Amino acid sequence: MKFIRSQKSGNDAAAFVFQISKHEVELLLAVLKFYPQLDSGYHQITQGAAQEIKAEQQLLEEAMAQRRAEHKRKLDKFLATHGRFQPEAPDLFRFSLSPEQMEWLLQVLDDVRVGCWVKLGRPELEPPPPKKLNAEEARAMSALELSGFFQMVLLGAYDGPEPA
Amino acid sequence: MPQPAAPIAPPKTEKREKTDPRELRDRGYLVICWNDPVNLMVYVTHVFQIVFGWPRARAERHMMQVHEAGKSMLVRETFEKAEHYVHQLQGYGLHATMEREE
Repeated sequence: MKFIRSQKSGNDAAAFVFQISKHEVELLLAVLKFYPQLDSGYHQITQGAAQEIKAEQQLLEEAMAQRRAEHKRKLDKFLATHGRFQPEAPDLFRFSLSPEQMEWLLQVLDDVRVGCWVKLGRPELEPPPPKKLNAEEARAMSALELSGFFQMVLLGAYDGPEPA
Repeated sequence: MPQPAAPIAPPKTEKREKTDPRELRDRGYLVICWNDPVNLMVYVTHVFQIVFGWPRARAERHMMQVHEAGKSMLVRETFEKAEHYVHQLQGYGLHATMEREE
């Protein structure tokens, strides 16, 4: 998957246009099926002891749950959009994202990445954990790595297309 | 070149009476981002740019501080604004908290 160009349409903000292989589409869709991974208990408003801050913990959890529900709704719509991935060549597709879609997709991918990391026991990732993974852990590690890959491609688009 | 979505505006706050029992909240609150091994460095930089509207150099400076020192104090704000920023940062999956400045 790589960023191709920006595309302006009417008064809308320029969209980000990507080229993606058939295999990458399958991987992206597989990763997105992991969403959501984090639960509200992951979020902590403070590490300190101030009670007036701790009282806001529930508000944070509610806000995150609300945000996740909204992201899930957008994700379902994104995935259900017919022709989301336009065929360009054999096994090669093109798709575009608005600036707003870029932001929520980055957040969705990060939820998968961080959530899988939590499920794996919050290991150090550099170097990768030497522990032998069972099937479920291997799936989580794959989703963690793949979500990072797609995040990097999306973020790279802000720097413009790669030189030919 | 397409631009990222506009930075997220913090809430406007009203000045409170001195008798307001919540006056403690008008003291400085620090928004701190803590290091973790999972969020990508380039992603953390991007989030700081989006949430605070910072130029990349400033965002990268704080990201490197998080990475090398384990945490970075991002802003000192009123309670409401600090809470807003923590919600935004945590929405992006960063490990950010608000701490009362002693």
